Amino acid sequence: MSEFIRAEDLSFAYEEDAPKVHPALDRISLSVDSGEYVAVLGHNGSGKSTFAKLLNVILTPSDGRLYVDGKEITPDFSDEETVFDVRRRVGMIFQNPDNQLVATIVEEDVAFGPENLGLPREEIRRRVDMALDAVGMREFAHHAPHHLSGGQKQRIAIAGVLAMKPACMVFDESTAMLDPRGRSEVMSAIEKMNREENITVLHITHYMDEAARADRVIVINDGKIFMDGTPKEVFSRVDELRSVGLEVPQGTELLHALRADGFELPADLIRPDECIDCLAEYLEKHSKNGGASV
Amino acid sequence: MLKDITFGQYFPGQSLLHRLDPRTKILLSLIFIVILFVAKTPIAFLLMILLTAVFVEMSKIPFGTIFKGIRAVLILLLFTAAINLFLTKGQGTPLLEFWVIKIYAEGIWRAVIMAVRVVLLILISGLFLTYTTTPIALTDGIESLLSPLKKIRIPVHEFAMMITIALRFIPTLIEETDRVISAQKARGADFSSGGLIKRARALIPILVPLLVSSIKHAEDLATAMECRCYRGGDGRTRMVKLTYRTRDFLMLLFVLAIGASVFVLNHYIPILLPDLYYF
Repeated sequence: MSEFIRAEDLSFAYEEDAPKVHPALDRISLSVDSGEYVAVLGHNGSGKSTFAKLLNVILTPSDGRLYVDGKEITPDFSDEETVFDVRRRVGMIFQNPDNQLVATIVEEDVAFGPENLGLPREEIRRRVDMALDAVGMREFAHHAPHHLSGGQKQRIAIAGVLAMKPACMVFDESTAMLDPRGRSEVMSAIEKMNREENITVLHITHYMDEAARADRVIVINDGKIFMDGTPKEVFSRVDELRSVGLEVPQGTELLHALRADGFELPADLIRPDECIDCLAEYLEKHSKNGGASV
Repeated sequence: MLKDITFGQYFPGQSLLHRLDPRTKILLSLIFIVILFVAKTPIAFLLMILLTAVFVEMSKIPFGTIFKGIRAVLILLLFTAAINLFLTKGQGTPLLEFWVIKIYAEGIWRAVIMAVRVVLLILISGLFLTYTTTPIALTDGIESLLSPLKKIRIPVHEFAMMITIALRFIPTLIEETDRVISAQKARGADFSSGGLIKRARALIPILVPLLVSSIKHAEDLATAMECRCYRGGDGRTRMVKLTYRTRDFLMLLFVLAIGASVFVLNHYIPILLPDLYYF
C-alpha cells in the first residue's frame, strides 16, 4: 500500500512569539497508508485536533516536514493551488454539525463542495445523488437541515465531503456532540467510507469503544505520540493508558481488574462481545471443575 | 416550537407562478410596482385589481394566507387613508363640512387610490417574492440579476452568499436564543416584570452570550467552508442553474403589454386627478 500521510519531526505551536515553550505538537513522526482506518486518541489539549488541522492546511507546521498525498506542506505554505489540491484530497468533518452546513436545503449543501471545485452541472448532480445514497440520506434531499437530528446532520456533512471524492477523510471528534443513536449512525457511515469507498480514515475521538473499532490506534499525549499500534496492542497496556488520563474499553477494563485479582484471562480483548464470550467460556469451564476458583 | 418558524412564508406548490424563474418574478414585481405608480385612470386601476386577482387565483394559495400580509399593515393603511381624506384640499366646494374638517371629492379619490396602490403592492410582491419563491431561489435570482455589477467590482457573489448563510442560521440562532433564555431563567433572571427600561436591561444577559456564540458559529463555519475548497465565487459552478423558459418570456411580455396599455390610457382617458402625479 502506498503512503498517504507522512510526518517527520512535525511540530506546531499556537503562540506565535514563543513557539518552543509549549508546542501543541512536539516532533511527531508517523506515516499513514492509503486505505487505512486509524483512530487518534488523546485527552483534551493533547494535540490531536491540531494534528488534524495540519493535514488539510487549516494550520501550517511550525517545524518539521509533512507530506500529504506526496505534496510537502511547509511552514510558509502559500501556493493557493496546492492548498486547494490538498483540501480536495483530504476532507474534514468537524464536531458541531450545525457549524458546517452552509445551505438551507440538504442537497444544496452536499453540492457546495463539488460546486467549489468548478465541476460541470451533470457531474455535480451525479455526485450529490451518489453521496446522499452512500450515507442513506437520499430521501431527505429536499429537507431543511435544521429539522434533522444531530446524527443525520453529521451524515449530511459526510456526504458533502464524499461528494468531493477525497482520498482521505478526517473526523475531528465528529461524534462528540451526538446522542448514542446519532453516534452509532455516524460510526457506521465512517466505517462504510473506509470499507466501501476505500477512503483513508483518521478518526479523532476520545471514545475508547470507537477507537477499538479502527485498524490502528495512535495515542497522542502532550503533543507526542504515546502509543501506536493495533487496538489490541494499545488497549492491553491498561496501566500506561491510565497514567496519561485515558480509559480503556469497559470490557477490557473488567478483564484487567479480574486479571489483577489472579484470574487467568487474556489481555487483548477489546470488543464487548469478545469480552462477554471470553467470560462466559471461563465461567463455564471453571464451574465444571467444581467452581472452586470462581 | 420556535424552531418551526418559516422565514419568508414560502408556500409549496406547483402553480405557474411557482415554476417561473425567480429572476422573472423579481422583474415582474418591479414592473408591476412601476405600473401601479404610473397608472392614473380608473380603468387602469380596475385592470390592475383584476390582474392581481388572476395571479392570486393562479397561485392556488388560500386567500387567508395572502391577506395575513395585509392585516399587518392595516393600521398604517387606515392612517394614510385618513390623512389623505382629511387634508387634501380640493378645488370645488367641500362635500362635507364639519367643524374644521372639510372633505373634498379629490380627498376621497386620493385616499382610495393610495389604499389600492399599497394593497396591490403588498399582494403582488408577497405573491411573487415570498409565497411562491423559496429564499434560496430568491437569493440565486438576485445574484444572477446583479451579476453584471461584478464588472465594476461589486462583490455580488459574496453578498448573495451572506444572505444564504443568514437564512441558514436563523433557525440555529433561534434555538440558541431559546437555550440562553432557559439558562438565564434557571439562574433566576426575570424578563417579564418591571418597567420598559428594566425589561430592556434584562435582555442584555441574553444578547451577550448570543453574540459570542454567533461569532463562534461564524468562525467554525468559515473553517468548514475553507475545508470544502470554498474560495469565493471565481471558478465556482452551480448544480442548479437558472434558465429562462418560454413561460418566463410570455409572462414578462404579458405584464409589459399591460404596462404599456396603462401608460397609453393615461393619455386618452380623462385621468382622475392631475395632482396624483405627486404621489
